Order: sequence, then C-alpha cells, then structure tokens
Amino acid sequence: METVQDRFLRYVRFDTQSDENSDTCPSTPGQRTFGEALVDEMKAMGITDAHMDENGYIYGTVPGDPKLPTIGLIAHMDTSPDASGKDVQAKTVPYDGTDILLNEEKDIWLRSSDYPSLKENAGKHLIVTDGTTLLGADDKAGIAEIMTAAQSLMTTRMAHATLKIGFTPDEEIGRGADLFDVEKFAADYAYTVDGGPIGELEYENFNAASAKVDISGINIHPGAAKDKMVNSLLLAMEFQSLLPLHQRPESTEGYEGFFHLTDMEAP
Amino acid sequence: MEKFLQKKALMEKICAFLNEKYGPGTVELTLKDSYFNMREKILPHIHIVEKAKAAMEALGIAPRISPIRGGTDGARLSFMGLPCPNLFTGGQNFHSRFEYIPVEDMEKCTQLLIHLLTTC
Ligand SMILES: [Zn+2]
Repeated sequence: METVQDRFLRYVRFDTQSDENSDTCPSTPGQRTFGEALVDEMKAMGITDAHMDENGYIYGTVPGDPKLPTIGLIAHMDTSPDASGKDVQAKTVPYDGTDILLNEEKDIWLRSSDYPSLKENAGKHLIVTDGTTLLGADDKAGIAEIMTAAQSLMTTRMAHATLKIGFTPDEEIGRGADLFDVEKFAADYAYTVDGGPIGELEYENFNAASAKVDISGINIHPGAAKDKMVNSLLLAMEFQSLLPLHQRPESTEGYEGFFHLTDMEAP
Repeated sequence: MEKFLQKKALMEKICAFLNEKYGPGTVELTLKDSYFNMREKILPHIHIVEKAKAAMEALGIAPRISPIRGGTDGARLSFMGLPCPNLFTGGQNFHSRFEYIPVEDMEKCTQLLIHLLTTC
C-alpha cells in the first residue's frame, strides 16, 4: 500500500493554483487534471462510483456498515494564489532542531527564529520546499490523508462506517462550497481535513463581510486646484485612518476581529 | 455577531461622515456578507466534535480547539445542511514558500481518520 508520504509527494507535482480572476469552475485547468488522476486512483482502489462532476468536484463512496452513520471527509484540490505552486520541488529532511537550508543556490533558509513552532518538530521528518514555491500541503496533505485512510478501509476486515469522499476545487478563492452537492453527498455529517498543526480541531470561525469603497474625487491642474480639487487617494487614506488602529490582523488574536485592507487602486 | 454588526456600522458611519465633509456621493460603500460562524450549526451536533476530540486523545494527540480566524468551506457547508468541523492536516506556514509538513503528523492524521470511521 502506498504511504501517505509518497502519495503526498506525488500530488504536489500537480500545479493546481486557483485564480480569482477566472469565471470558470474549476478556475484553472490544472485542478481538473489533478481531479482526473484522483478519480483514476480511487477506481483502482475499488471505489467504483468515483467520478468528477461537470464542475470538477470529485465524489466517491467506501461502503460500510449501513447501521452506522455515514461520514464525509472533504478536502480541496487547489492551492493558494498567494504563492506559486508550479514545479514544486519537495524534499523530505530529518529535522534535528537546527535551521534548514531550503535552497543552497539562493541561500534560502527555514529558520526557527522566523517560525518558532518549527522547534516542536525536532526528531520528525519534514517535507519542505526549495524556498521558491509553496508546498501545497494546504490541502494536498488532506487529500493524501483521506485517500490513504480510504485505501486502508477498502482492505480492512474491521467493521466501519460508510465513508463519503468529496474533493472540491477553488476553496482558496472562496468558491469551494458553491457547487458542492450536499444532497447527493448524503453524509450524516462530515469533516474538512484542511487544518494546520497536529491536534487542530475547529468548529468556530469568523463572521465576515467584504467592503468595497468607491471614492469619486475631482481632478484639476494642481496649480488651479484651490477650493476645487478633491484628491480621491487622500480620501481613501482618510477613510482607512478612521478605522481603529488596534483592530488590524497584526494586532488581534483569538476571538478579536479585524478590518483588513487588501487592495487599493486608482482608476 | 454583535461585534461583527458594530464593525459594519462603523464603516457606514465613516462613509456618512466623509460625505458630510466633502459632499454627498463622494464616498460610496458596498458591504457584502461573505460567511458566518458555523458554531450555531455545529452545536446541535456537538457530538461530532466530541468524537473527534476523543479519537485524538485515544491516539495520543493533544487536541487544540480554537476558532478559525477567517472562513472555511466547512462553515459554508454547515449552513448548507452538512455539519462540518475542520481537522488538522499537520501542515504549517500555509500559503507561503516556507510551508512544511512533518511526515509523522500526516501519518497521525491518517490514523485519526481511520479511527473516526471504525469506532462509531
Ligand atoms: Zn486549505
């Protein structure tokens, strides 16, 4: 049986970065390519109903004891637009607690002074990048873990619940749930496998809204601007300056909410 | 929810203030709700959280229960009728060139998933 590690290393080679400027679903063709490979792999394991729907969502069932609840496991196929996910050069390194040289040529290091939680992993084997792309553990690790668990259930003699598998596109651009067919999925409940460090278990999240502020200024030659010009860039800064300083992502934690300026553009 | 509403109200007040200062129509604000806290949808099924917690403890994993400082597909799915908490993958530094994941933690997650499916 393929290990979760080998499976993961195979998956990160697919470039599945999503694109918020695309209107298609999936937003990028690489997600479909990855999805097709996942369906083939599920079928090869004996998951006979594995399929991709017209929107690129993957579904499949590992049948179990019908007297037990039906449990869903869900992960997403895309990776974040925040960093490149192309030509990911993943490698496994035994970690002794010292800093890790990710890229000798470019002198890129993964340092515990930058990421203090690194130290907690001394003695483990870490899969890292070459420092030029993201890794894609978010969320190909979730997919590899679900697939490995599914394969184990397919071969075990132990009684188990029916498992419904769902792999979604475009989670990172906030569209992953849009076209998810909850009714067809037919699970009593589910877990997304999309969290961070070991032990994480989450059932609360923020309430969120997006705010778009359009500012119409009045443009005029600066030499003749007196009492006429309204500079929209300055007004945008004034708007932002009226929001509480202490309610920003960098100064809040736990249950404290924030205002987060993500974009500013001049027309 | 109350603090969320206060934040939206503050933006509206700032918008109104600037329009008063510089003239009507100078600033236009469009607020759109993105997602809501899934807590209210999970609480009636809190046993699925308890179950995940117990499964972790049985495998020697210390559960770390905390709010997601953002959204998640599970929240949307919970509001669509599928209660859906989120489990760890083991990964760290998501969305970054410094993302990494311990092999041992991926193995633990796999064991956790198998445990959840075989002990219910
Ligand atoms: Zn994710």
